[in-house]
Amino acid sequence: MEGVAALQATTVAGADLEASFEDFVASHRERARRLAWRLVGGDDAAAEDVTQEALAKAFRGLQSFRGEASLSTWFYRILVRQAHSYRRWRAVRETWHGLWEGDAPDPAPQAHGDPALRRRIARALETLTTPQRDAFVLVHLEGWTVRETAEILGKAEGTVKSHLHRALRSLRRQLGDLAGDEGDGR
Amino acid sequence: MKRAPETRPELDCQDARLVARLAREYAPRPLGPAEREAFDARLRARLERRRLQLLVPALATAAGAALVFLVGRGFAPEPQPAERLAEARPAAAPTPAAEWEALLYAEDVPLAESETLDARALPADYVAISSLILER
Repeated sequence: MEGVAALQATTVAGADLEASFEDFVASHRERARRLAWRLVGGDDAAAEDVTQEALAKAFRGLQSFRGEASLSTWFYRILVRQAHSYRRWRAVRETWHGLWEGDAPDPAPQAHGDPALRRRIARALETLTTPQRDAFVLVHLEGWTVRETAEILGKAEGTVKSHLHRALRSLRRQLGDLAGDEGDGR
Repeated sequence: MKRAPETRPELDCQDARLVARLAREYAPRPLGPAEREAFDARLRARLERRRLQLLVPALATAAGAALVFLVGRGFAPEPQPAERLAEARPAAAPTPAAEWEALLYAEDVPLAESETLDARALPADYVAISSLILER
């Protein structure tokens, strides 16, 4: 994590910057990929693309990073925006495919766990609005605090809490059976 | 000043179980060591591509400017003094009409004897007209 601290300093440049960035990637790779995966609907390839693009943008922007927010908050804000961008592009692509080629294939056929349950959860998350989904994933699935989530999403804490409340109400209605025994939702 | 505690939403038991289940089931498989290496290699390649992409427009602009400069120099006429331009221009061969024209407009050329005599033989108004044209 020394590299992450070095990145936070404003005087890092050149080779030092690259070394510190590699440390940053090593520290955040898994968490960033998991968040991207959850935001894009469980697609491994898309999650990697979103994560890498966010890291590349962060690397380019590091020279202008002023340290007004924490580095990780700043980076995850980039990542969430990148995921939004991907989702918009996918919506256009799916509209086109729907017109000409029918249903798209399962984006993550090789993922671990129960594919049917994963698809069910993904579909339920898709019914949420984008702010509700972002807030729910960041706070309840990724463990960020409401304050950190508000910083990442650029919203007031009260707004985030409102999104969380509505998201949970919707998911409780759709997936409430999963709160019982392990086998209930399969 | 004491900082406010980090806010976390409080969930009842049922919601907490639902959220825990979703967090457990809805997650990607973690990357193995080889996959992490591959991820980092692809990231490095992406950063390198991005560097090149940033270089290409700059190089293209410079090359374009150089091309415009060279082409402009190659096709534009070299600036020459007016005298050299005049010298370079080939002299046109004098035509009979041009010779007459030159004679007519030359200031020091007197009228020929025959022309004077002819003029005397002409009516007065013709002579007046011819004197207007020929005499200066």
